[in-house]
Amino acid sequence: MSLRSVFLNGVGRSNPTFVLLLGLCPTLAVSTSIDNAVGMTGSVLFVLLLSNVIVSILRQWIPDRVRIPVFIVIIATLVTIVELALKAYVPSLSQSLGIYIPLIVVNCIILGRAEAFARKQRPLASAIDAVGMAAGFGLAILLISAVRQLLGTGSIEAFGARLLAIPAFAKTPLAIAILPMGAFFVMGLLLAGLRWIGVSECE
Amino acid sequence: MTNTLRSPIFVLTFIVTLAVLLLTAVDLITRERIVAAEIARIRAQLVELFPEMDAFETGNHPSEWRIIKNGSRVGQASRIIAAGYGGPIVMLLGIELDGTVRGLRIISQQETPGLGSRIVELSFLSRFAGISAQDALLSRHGGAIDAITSATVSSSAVVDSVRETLRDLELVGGRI
Repeated sequence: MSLRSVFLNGVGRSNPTFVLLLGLCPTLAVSTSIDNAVGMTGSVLFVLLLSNVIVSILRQWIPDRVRIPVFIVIIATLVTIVELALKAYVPSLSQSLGIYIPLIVVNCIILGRAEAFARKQRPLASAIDAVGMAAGFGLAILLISAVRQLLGTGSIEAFGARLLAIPAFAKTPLAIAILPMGAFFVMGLLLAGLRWIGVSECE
Repeated sequence: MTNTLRSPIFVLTFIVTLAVLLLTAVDLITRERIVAAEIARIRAQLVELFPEMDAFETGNHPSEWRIIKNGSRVGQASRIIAAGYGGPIVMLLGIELDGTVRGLRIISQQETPGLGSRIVELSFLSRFAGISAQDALLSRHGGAIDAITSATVSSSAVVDSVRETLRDLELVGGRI
């Protein structure tokens, strides 16, 4: 596989959210606004990139029988370091991202890519895979957030700027779209829609 | 020898030891800065609530600050904690000399992102400026504070603990 197709694979054919259905816990939990989606995507990109590269560098050396515990220790250590460093050096960012950092540990995309890709591939390819997967995750969570925000509040806002407003929705907001169960409905309908028009296929 | 070094138990032990050492080092390096950052945040919020202040000093309790201007007291800030939906909500409540609210700021919270977490927004917090204990209720109960849509628990938690603090103050004369 060329590096370009490794990247595109993460965005499209093996999109972690809409095709592999990985990492749904943080996806459903934080897709309530565009701001949250961007924060989560940034955190996932950072941790996934580091964990993929480290796993790939150590791949010759990690025995198959203990690979999962080793991956988990690597990921949990990275997440903790990121959390402490953010708190100490960029407290303002830590205030807004604080809630997502622990959620990354339970994001199966990170463990999934270590297991399915990084432990068999060279560091450069693994880094590209991480960027592609994070981009695919970001697109999906942004799409879900935009729909939930639009249905739930009547407008799409990002970092204080109003991108789109539908007054009819604002008059009778569907609060359910913002609530946790709304996340399942929106995600399910989007998934059905994408399958129907053939954008995402079952593997 | 190579076989011993590559045995699962050795690799796992080695990786975990490395992780522990690394985390210990990072903790030692960042610990002081994290505490300093938290103090700086409270200080910044005190200045936000009382822009005119010259200095502040710790009051009767460690979670109370007297706001000083030209050598005399112009207000007080208290750190109060409410039981939110996702955990404790730590807040800074600025109180005027006459016992009304100067303003409210959130120090830390773990409410649901996008719902309860909107208590940190100024559109919610600015409603508290100038109110006294009898207005510190949600508007549906005849008070001055509009609850955040779909986040009644978080909104009530904040409003209730502000009201309790103001009530306590009224019991001792209503002035600070």
